[in-house]
Amino acid sequence: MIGVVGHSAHSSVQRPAHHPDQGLLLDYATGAMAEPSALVIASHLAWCPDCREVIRCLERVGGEFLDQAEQQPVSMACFSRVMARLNEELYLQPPPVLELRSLHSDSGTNGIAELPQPLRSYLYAIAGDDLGTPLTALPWKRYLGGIDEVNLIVSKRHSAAVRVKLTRIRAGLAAPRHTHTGTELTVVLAGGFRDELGSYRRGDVLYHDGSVDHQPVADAEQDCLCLSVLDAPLRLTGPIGRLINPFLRF
Amino acid sequence: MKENDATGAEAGTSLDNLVLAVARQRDRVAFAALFGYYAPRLKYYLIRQGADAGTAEELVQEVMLTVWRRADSFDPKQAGASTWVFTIVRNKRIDGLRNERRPEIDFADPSLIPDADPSAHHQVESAEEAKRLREAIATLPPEQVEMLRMAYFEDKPHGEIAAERNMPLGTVKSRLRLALDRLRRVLREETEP
Repeated sequence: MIGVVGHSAHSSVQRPAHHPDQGLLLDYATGAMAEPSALVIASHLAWCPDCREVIRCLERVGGEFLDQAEQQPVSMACFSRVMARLNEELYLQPPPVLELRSLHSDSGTNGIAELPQPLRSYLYAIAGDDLGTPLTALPWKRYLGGIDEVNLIVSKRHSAAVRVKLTRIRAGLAAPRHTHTGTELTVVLAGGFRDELGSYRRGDVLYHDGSVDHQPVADAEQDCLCLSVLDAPLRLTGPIGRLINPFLRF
Repeated sequence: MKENDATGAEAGTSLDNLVLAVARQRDRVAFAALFGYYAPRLKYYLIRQGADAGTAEELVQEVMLTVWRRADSFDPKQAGASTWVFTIVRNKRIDGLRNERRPEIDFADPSLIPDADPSAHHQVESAEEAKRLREAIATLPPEQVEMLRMAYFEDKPHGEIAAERNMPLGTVKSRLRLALDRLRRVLREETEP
């Protein structure tokens, strides 16, 4: 398989330490998970062979349920239409596979190319599909000093109640203390941060609900980049944060 | 447990062979046999996912045409035919019934961290293993199977299942966890050398 190529080159790469729980992996495997959260999970999966193995098991269970499914009679017309289309399909090329992009041409430049698929495709759709497109080409907006965001519209039926954003926290910066009024699902894409509960690096997933009150501090070595899905505003809980709460977009 | 377990397991192998015949020889008879097996099951699945009968048949067509077109990407070492068809219908119904895309990883992606030992992870989905999985599902406590069925057949995240059933989220999570831990253990068991 193609996935084996580059195995030795990646063998020293650190695997994620914080994983989505099995319930989230199940929702992804069954297809019940909405597109924004599924994008977070897929980004983790690209970097997590262990969770990919869980997904493979869960898909096998799906295959077994399909085998066991009741049978709804299908019309002869449906069968005939499919058989009639086989001839025309015979000459069609298979749908194009996403092309391989070389990382070498813009490694180390914080290019979109360093992010995993399928996230990369979503970002190319915003910033232009060019091999060297840097992350800075995205429409960043200042959230607070040292923290910038890009809001993403991920799905055609994107609910206004759900926010999907890339967040960049300047290296070494402490983000404001906050809690969540809804849920937050985050994957670290570059750099890392720590909070009261642990430290998180590339590929790690965090799932928070209102029960967590935390203050992330970005690692000193490099800016921390995260992809988050929020279904309700963050609420700042520090003494100054409380004063600026009403002015924050979530 | 059903008494046709063994034949079911054998059917799994022959379904794999049918897909391979479509891939290698563009075998229309093999394809028609796959249609006969999968189309009624797919239609049931799609109706459970909220499709009306007409939409369900349209999506059955799309799924089966994808089986025809993409048969060459089927790799029985990665997954059995039914697992492969399950992933196709899942992705089609996300697109067709929910109007969303399916964010899927790309195994050719250079930034993907590959499996440490691909041979260990890509075991052949053998007939023996399919039989063990079937038996394991058949012997799960009914309330666990019911949760699993809802998770796979209805377009509902586990949190929504809990809300709809008026059950504590923790109860739903623990039932699913018990069931899935058991099934994953069964799938991880080494097949006899």
